[in-house]
Amino acid sequence: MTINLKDLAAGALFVIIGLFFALDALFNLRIGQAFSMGPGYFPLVLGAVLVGLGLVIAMLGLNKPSESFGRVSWRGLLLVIGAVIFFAATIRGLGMVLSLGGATLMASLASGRMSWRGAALLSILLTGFCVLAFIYALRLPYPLFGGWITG
Amino acid sequence: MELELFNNLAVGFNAALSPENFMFCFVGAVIGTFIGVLPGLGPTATVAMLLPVTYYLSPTASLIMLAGIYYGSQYGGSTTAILMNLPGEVSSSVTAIDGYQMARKGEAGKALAIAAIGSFLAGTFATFLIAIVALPLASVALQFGSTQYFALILFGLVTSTALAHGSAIKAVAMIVAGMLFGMVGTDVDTGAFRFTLGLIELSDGLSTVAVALGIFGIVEILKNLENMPDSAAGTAKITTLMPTRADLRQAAGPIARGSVLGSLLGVLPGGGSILSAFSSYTLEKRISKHPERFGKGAIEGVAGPEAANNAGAQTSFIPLLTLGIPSHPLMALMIGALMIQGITPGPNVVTEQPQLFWGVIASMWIGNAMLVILNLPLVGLWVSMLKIPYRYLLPAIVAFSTIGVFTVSNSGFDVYVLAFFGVLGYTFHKFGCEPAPFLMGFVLGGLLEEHLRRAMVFSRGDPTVFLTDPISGSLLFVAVVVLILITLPAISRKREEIFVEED
Repeated sequence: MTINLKDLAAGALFVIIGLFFALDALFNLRIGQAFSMGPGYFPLVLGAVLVGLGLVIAMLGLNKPSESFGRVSWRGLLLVIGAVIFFAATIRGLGMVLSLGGATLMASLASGRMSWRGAALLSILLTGFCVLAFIYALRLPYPLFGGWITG
Repeated sequence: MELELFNNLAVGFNAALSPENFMFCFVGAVIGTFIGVLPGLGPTATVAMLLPVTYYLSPTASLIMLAGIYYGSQYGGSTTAILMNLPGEVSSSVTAIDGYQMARKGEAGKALAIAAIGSFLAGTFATFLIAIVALPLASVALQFGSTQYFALILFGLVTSTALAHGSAIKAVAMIVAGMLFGMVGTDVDTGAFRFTLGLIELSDGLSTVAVALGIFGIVEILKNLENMPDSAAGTAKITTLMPTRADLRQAAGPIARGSVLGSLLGVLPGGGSILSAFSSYTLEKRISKHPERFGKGAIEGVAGPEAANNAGAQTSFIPLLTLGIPSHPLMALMIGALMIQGITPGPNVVTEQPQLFWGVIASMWIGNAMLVILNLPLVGLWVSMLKIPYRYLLPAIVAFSTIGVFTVSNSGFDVYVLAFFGVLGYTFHKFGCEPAPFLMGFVLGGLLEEHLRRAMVFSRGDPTVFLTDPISGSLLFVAVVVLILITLPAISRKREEIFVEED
């Protein structure tokens, strides 16, 4: 017997999501009745349905030819998600220029084919363009440099 | 009735030709062509990226621009399909079959011209069709109560999975998961906080822009990083653009049939352009006296599918404009754009916002004309865009996505949400689950709940009302039939041949 890990993993993920919502609804929200539904009613039903679907998906995966998850670019994943999180964490403190500069630098390095110099140049160009477009042209009220810099 | 139609169209053209709207129609068509040409950047992610920009536009202008991106991407996709056998969008993969063969025979210009003419004629036909059926459909929809709306939304969600890629049961699970994440925030009826994890930032719910950009934009980047697409290789030379009279005669039938077929199939939720193009190709091949020419550069194999996919792209706006039900994740985002502007999409839009409604319809025709002008003489320019390596594009997409998400609410929190859904979406992708149904569920879940609650109040908690009401009953019946059909092994195999993820 072969196991399709892709289906098994998908099923498990759906079960986890379904359980989270269903249990949170069950314990923390009023369920109510069908003719006057509380805030927890619909999420509880959906969560239960999702748990059921997840179980079916996992079970169907038990007797299917296995399938590979395919390649994952861990470097890319780390740097792209890292860039987004960096921006989120520093936009207030560092301001648009440095926060965006750092994020685009990380994103530029996400593909292994970019040199450090190329990445630096690209991030400077992109940051310059975004500052011109968003702060000068669209007049969005964001400071170029944040409180960590200007004190 | 006829007079009314022309009056309405006049209102529409008046609105669409105002300088602002005209300009944004053009902007949409240009951006659409651009991303259509580029592989690795789909229209859904692009629309999500541009949603924040639309807050600065009038509702009409933003919808006109977003629509332009959608049908513009269909045009751009066929250019690279013909010249390089590289369909920029999935719906143009059918065009690539015979289009690229024509290009190899030195008929690239002819294929491009036929594709553009076919698309334009089909777009014209579909625009008029929308104008004709929109009012009657909207007036039917106005009679709908919550019971019927509940069934209609459920029907739309289910059938859209039927036409999506991959395992049907996973698609259904993705819808449900999307709906659950859509529940996060304050419950409209009771004011209770749901699933906010004690975070005040979540009391308004998850930002649609952040969720959509995460599961489409960020995931697209991560997919491309798995095996970086190289910049384009060889391109066929374009000689003469003008098709001969004989070519036109040969293409006329396929264009006409493709327009009708595409218009009909486009209305189906999730159907849109890919199904239309594929069916048209099959039809033309079947009725041709020389089916052996197909696959070797038959002009009918370009004309029919191109007309069909464009007509389908246009008529897929019908459910959105008349019922407020999106048939494609991109349209789900348009609903988001409208809601932010304080407009609830639905049958009322026709009467309350005639400028918006008819303006968007008229703009589609104008946009199609622009696309012919943009795509034929400037084809060389678009092809040279392909020389931009993806590694330069990637940081730009990241930058625009994060700034876009940030500007919506001025909060770094939403940017974390973007990162979260990027990771979650990529995980789903690795587990063989596609993002489109998730986004549909996310956007429509709240609406479905609202109508369910209201319908149940009216029926005093009796769920059989959904079956005894004729409209709701038949919609649900069809939805169940569709669900059963797609899980039948024979059909699901066929589905997997036809449908590849369309984003």
